[in-house]
Amino acid sequence: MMIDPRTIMVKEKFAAFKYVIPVISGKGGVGKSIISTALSLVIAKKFKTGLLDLDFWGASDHLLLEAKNQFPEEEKGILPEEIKGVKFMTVAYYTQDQPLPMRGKEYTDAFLELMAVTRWDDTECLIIDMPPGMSDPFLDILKYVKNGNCLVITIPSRLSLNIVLKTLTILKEQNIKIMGLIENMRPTSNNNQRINELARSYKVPYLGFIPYYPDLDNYLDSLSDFISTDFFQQISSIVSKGLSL
Amino acid sequence: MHEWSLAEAVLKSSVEEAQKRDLKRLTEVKVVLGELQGIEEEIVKFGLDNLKKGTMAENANFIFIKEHASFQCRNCQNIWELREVDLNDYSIQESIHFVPEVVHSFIRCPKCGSPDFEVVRGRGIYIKEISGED
Ligand SMILES: Nc1ncnc2c1ncn2[C@@H]1O[C@H](COP(=O)(O)OP(=O)(O)OP(=O)(O)O)[C@@H](O)[C@H]1O
Ligand SMILES: [Mg+2]
Ligand SMILES: [Zn+2]
Repeated sequence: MMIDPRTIMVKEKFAAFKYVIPVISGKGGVGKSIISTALSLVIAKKFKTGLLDLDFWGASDHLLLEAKNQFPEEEKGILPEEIKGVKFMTVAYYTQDQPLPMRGKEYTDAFLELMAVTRWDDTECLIIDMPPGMSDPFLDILKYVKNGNCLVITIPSRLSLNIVLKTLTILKEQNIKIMGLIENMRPTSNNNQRINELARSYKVPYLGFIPYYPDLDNYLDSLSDFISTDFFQQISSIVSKGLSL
Repeated sequence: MHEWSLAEAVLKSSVEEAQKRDLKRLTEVKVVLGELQGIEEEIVKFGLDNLKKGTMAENANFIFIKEHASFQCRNCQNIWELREVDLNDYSIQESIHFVPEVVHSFIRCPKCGSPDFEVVRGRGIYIKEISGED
């Protein structure tokens, strides 16, 4: 016999949040991380908010948030670092900026471990930055998060849409709530309503678009610069207009 | 210390398992502690002694079994043990203590240098057996 003591804790922890928002796409590089991070900072003004970077292979939210390069404090569990009101957890605290090559089974173990020992306490809303794809991280979210309300990100490219539609298909099939679809990196020359219409045909709320900002990268070195961008402003307005929280 | 949350996890899981088996009281719980995670038995014990009060595990005896950690390379099948690895950097030990999988950030197969290895035994904490009375 072998009972994994973490599973019960993980289920309880997810169930304790009022809102759990996995930010997903299926497609890589469409802005999940930058949107998750901005979203958590915006929502933190209204709710006690946490951000969990679940992209263990390509963790990046700690860079945007300028997280400390040291272990989070411990007190009957691990206390996430709090950054501008956001309780933040990432595997990057423990990899010392080294690569983390591991298989999906090991990913699941790391996920259960981090979630089982992290004390989110009275956090009401947890944003989860997901890696691309439909492998273990995606399936673990389906398995352990029963109160999730997914935010799906796409870019206008056909190569993204095709994959995102598959993600929507599986979420629908599994009866997972979908908060809506965000169109990111829309070129200024593009005025078509394709993604809007597509969202409608899938009965998913279209939450709006974020333009492509060619110089965005110049503002990602410091958190205060990031917060001052039009990109950030755009996320703020999507939250205030469209998110049913 | 995060041993406390592990103690909480062990207690909740044992109680849940006991309820599944229609037990009224837990008498004994065997807990395996994997070497890789380096969990401090004394702190888990202390946590359990505090947390079990007023639960069906109040009088249960928690027995800890230490398990050596060993690895097997998926590339060349080489098998080796944690004790053969020179891991004297304290911060690396701490990192692995929190999330054992980050061992893939810090060690490689001693024979072929691959990061693609499995922790065959002694990864972390799990419950091996529970006994009780109906
Ligand atoms: N609206 C935008 N305008 C300009 N650049 C953007 C925009 N949105 C995202 N980017 C940039 O695109 C790149 C990818 O973004 P990000 O890392 O957030 O994507 P991701 O979906 O999380 O990727 P992955 O699938 O690898 O996790 C980053 O360099 C980011 O700064
Ligand atoms: Mg990302
Ligand atoms: Zn090898």
